[in-house]
Amino acid sequence: MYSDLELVTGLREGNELVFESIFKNYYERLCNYANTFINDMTDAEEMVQGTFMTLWEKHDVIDVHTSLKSYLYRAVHNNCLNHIKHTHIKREYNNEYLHYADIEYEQVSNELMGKELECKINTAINSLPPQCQTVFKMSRYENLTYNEIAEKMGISVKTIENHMIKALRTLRVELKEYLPLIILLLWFKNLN
Amino acid sequence: MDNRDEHIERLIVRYFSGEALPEEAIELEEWVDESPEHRKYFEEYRFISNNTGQKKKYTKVDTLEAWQKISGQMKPPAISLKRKARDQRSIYNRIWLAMAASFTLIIGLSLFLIFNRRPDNIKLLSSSELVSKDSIIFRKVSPTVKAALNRKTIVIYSSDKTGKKNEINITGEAFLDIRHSKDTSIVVRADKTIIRDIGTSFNVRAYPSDNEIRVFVESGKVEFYTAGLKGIIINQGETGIYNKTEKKFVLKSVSDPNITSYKTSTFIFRNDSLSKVVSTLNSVYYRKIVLAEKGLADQKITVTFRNESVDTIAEIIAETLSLKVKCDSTTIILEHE
Repeated sequence: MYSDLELVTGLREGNELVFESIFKNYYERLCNYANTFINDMTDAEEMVQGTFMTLWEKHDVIDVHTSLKSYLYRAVHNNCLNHIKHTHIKREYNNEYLHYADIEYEQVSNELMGKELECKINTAINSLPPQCQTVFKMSRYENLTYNEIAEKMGISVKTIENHMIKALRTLRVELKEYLPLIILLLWFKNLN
Repeated sequence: MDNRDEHIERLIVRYFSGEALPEEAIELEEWVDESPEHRKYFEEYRFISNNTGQKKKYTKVDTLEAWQKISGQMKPPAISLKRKARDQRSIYNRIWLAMAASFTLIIGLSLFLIFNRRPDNIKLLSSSELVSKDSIIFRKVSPTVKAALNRKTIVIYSSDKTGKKNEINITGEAFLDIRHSKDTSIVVRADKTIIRDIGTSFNVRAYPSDNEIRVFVESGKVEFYTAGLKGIIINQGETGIYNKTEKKFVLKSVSDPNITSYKTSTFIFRNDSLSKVVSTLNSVYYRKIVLAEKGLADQKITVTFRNESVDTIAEIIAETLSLKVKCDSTTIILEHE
């Protein structure tokens, strides 16, 4: 059982057991967090592994001002923003920037999701007020940030956030009859 | 909906929109860990989020596999800066890794050949040594032998000067997958015992601290003996046990389904006691599960885990037996609710 101080001290001393413990404790969570920015779990994993390798390589000079947890999340956050910036530059260079108006809002195919559920999701999205619907689609299907959407639509970031909350809340209410089944299916997947 | 609920909902939406700052993500995850209800609420939003995007966004990661990959590349603390930079780049390039592994193999074999030219060479020369320390590692030790090493294991691979007679020495626990070759023979040694194979895959458990050496044959068959004792033939699915003090061999036709769990990350429990389940899991995972009360040890459970993190496994056990999970970085405690 290590305290945060012991973890940082152990890491500075190059203790592999301490490093393994940190890795195993935070790896999945950090990957999930990175994935919220990158939207590709393979890339997210590569990035988090890279972050950990840097941590190991620089263990003797690591400078943790807050908690180790904050340090790790901050490092992954910074790496994700750099990755996004790099991807945007690459896209612009290749002139492959998406034309937002032409995007087909194609639903993802999910092994758990039947036609009926897909239909329900589409209906729920279409039932949203027009501006809320546009914000939601820009965020979910075009992967734009709140700032980018605010800029494009000429409204405040706070309003964008409120629209997103409203959209997801509505979807949750509309899909409530499916959600217990989904959690159950995930549960069985774990057992089998 | 009160202010607290609204705040959490805002955090969840920010998280799944890729807007959460590090401190917001931490706050949210701590809230999710507080109770199964919180997790369920969060998972519902994850499901909605997954199904309203351009592509499938979430797949569960395999921490153990990632750790094996990372730990295989970690160098001891004091290494040159040049190598540090090279090692870090390697994480981003699997092809490079394969090339590096081949390069190491070539160097190893070259050294082996160079030494072999010397007229006074000994009969068997060590060509490679694998040490797993605190990780589980997977390596090809020769063109015909693949190995998985459990923690704290040393595998030494040696060949004679013609390269036809080969020997593998195991201290600890390793799973070997040996491809049959007409031109070469391989003998496996563990302590005083010898395992002669005829193209097969098997697991050897021979930690110096144990009084037994256990050989489980997954496919094919092997001879298991010592220099002075004839020993036994172990067929597919069987386990041979050598008792070091009694110097006796025993053959078991029914084998523990979790013998090679450290390699497969699969655990099968059929009406097993919680104490057995915990001891099996603890022999594989770095983070240990502890039962808070003695009464829990005899509770029975039937369940199969495949490629799950130890945290998820603990949660499933807790959910199944109505227990509570408490975690820190090295221990997971199971206790009555």
